[in-house]
Amino acid sequence: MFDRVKRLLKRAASLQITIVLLAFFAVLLFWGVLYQSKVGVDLATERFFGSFFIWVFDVIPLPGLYSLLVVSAIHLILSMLYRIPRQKKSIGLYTMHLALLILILGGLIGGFSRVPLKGYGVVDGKTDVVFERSSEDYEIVLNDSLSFPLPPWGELKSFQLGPYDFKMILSCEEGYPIVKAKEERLILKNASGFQGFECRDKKESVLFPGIVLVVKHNEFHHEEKILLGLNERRPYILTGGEQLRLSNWREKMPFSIQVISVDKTGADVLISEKGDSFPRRIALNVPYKSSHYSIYFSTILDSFDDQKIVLFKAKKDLFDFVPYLFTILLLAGLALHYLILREGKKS
Amino acid sequence: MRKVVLFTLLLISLLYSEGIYSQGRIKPFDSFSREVLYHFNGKTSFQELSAKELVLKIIQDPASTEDFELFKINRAEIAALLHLDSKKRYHSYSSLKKSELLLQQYNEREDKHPITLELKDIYKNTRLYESLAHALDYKRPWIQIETDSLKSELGLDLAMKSYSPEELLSKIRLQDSTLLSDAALWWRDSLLFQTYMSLQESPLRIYPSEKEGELVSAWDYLWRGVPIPSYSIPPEENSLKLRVEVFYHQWNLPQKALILLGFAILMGFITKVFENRFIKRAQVILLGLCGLLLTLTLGLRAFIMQAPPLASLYEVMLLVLVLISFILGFLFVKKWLTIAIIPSSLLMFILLFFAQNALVQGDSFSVLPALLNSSFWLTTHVFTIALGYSGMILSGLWAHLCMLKPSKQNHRVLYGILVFGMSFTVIGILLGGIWADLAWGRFWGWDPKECGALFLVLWAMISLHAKAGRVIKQEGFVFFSAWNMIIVALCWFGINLLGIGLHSYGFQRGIELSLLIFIIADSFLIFFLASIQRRQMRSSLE
Repeated sequence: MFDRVKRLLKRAASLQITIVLLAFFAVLLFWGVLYQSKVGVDLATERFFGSFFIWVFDVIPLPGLYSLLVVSAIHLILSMLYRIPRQKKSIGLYTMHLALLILILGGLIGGFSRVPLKGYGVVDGKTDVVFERSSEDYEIVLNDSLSFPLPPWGELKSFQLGPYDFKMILSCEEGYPIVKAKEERLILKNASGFQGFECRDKKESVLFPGIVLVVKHNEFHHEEKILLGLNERRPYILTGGEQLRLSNWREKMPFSIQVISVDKTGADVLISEKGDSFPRRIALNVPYKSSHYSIYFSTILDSFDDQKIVLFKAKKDLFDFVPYLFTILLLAGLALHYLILREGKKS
Repeated sequence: MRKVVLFTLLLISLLYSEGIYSQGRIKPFDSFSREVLYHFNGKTSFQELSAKELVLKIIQDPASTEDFELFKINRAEIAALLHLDSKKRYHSYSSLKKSELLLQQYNEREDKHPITLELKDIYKNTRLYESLAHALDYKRPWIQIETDSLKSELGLDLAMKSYSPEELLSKIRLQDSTLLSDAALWWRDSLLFQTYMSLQESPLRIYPSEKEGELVSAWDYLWRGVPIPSYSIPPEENSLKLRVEVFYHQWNLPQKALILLGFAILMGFITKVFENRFIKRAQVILLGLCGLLLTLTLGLRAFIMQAPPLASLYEVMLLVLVLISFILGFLFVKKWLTIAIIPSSLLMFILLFFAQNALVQGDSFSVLPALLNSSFWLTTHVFTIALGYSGMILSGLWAHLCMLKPSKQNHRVLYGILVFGMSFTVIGILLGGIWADLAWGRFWGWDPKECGALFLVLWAMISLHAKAGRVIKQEGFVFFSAWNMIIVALCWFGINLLGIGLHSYGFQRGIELSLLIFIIADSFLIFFLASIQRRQMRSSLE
């Protein structure tokens, strides 16, 4: 039994399997690039290089990059265990294969743990840049400081933020603003001027996530019913003067950034980190990197009230060291392999 | 008389002072003119006029050039559509002017049909011609004012009927608008607007300022009442660069290298008939000279642009050719080159011919986009990847030779070059990744160009693993490697045809046909050589 398993594992470590895997990679790459010209880089990357399966005609599953990476990682481990000879002259080969294994595993884990972010900064030298997750995680934010993560759409909760008690009475991801004469008095106008909100199915043309809340002040016992739309340009101003908004999940960064000035190619910012403040320029090809966060300049947005707003793209990647480790190991492996071969030839 | 003298002085300054601001850089008027004529018809001279003389003539005396058959129309159906003689390929501005409306309509279309694209080009060329023809309008007396009361109110010479914008502006720019009648005010404003618009249209609208590194429009000079200096007067530090650029175009070193390669091929064939040591040596010397000329070309380009000469596909191609010539030099020293002199010369000839004819479209100097502007990383990444591609291309060539003349040494050389090419492609990719991480915040982004380079590595890895695992024999490995040149062509140039991604500097129109011809021709050659190899093997077995 053990022998049979070992034989099977050895076969799985064979060079034939390597070639088949490499061929699959090549085909996937070729197809993915052709698809990029059809639908653009982002969508094609998501379908081909960010998934386990590619669905042909929505029916036939073919292995996507993640499936190939999983199989390749297993194959590499088996190759190092059973195929590559354990000799001094194979150190280079081992190092190169180890580098590949680290790249594959790091790529796989990093792919799942990477958090894409978007940062919005007002050019006034005072306000901190707000970083939000690009994924579909939302929260209710009071005064840009206190927040409550939104439960899954449709699930209603009561919670407290600052001096206010909140009670969700309606929430959905695919909502539609409506005007209801009867409810006009009950639901106050929100920033966009909509008087009502209704959950609808995806076939509707104007859809956005929204939430209807009853807000009650703890001390004054004043109650109001409000509608929040996602990322409204103007926040809702509560009776006490506090600002309330529904936004994407905001990332708590280990540093803060204030934008001093901006031009077409970049922004001059002031970064406060670990008690230090220092000026920096985040430009088209000069991102700021710190504590696994990379922040790079994207564009200047049309803004409300003639205020300039800078859009930063950012990401949090705990495995951002992997490509560098891979590079060092691979180059070391290549050099070792070459030197050992040369030595062998000489002797 | 005064006008004639002024005009002549202006033209003399145009001829000798060189230097014009166009497409993000100050370039010699000569380069600008070559580019204009290239857009019109793909040539560098017209009848007995050089590009520069022709463009000057268009600027100086547009009426005399309206009937010059300058504009090339490739498709007979387009000529028919524009009511032109479909048997003729070259047409004049005056004949195209009749179809202006139709051209304008096609220019607004969004489709990418070849006919639409060519009509759009024709429209742009006629607009370019018009902007040149109107470049000196601010000096020409084309504004007619007939009412004497208006003339006196605007302070103009009553004896004259027509005025140039320059004259008019010098009179009216400081007039107090509160003192003018409504009619005079309307006239003045419309005049200012017309002059402003005509100067905005002109390709020669920007002039160097007295302040260093600053450029201002002709309008600014006119409005401030300061005489426009001349078309150029380049800053002192630029003048040498501009002169070198003129020299670069006049000498056309890559063209000379092409001729040398042609001679090398010819000599190679002569040595096939008459064994002669001297001719063989001369052949190698010619190859070396060609490498030197191309190195000098890159050096000149670096000096002219004051940046590493790696800003366009053309420049990277020149670098690849230089690197190929260096690798060939190494193989020659090792005495492994003997069988490959003719094929190597032929390969370099094809690559250089392709670079000169398909990759140079007008001005071959281009300013690198800000996104890619990093001398250190651009040099290290592009140089390494070019070295990798050179190795991959040569391995493809060697595989062809191995099919024709299989020997142990040839197979060893093939393996060595392939590993060399693949290793440097991998290092180039890694350096590119580090650059992308530092510049764009990500190591790898599945950009088509990145994928192209990775595909090349995967291809080489498949063949090397198949050889190591004895999945394919020596002949199979050779056959597999023979496709390397096609794979490089697809991954390097083919990817650019997609026109997407961040490596926009490599995008090039009009290379599809050359690429297709190369792929078909090389595929046929590979199968032909494979059949020869098989026949040789069979006969040796028998």
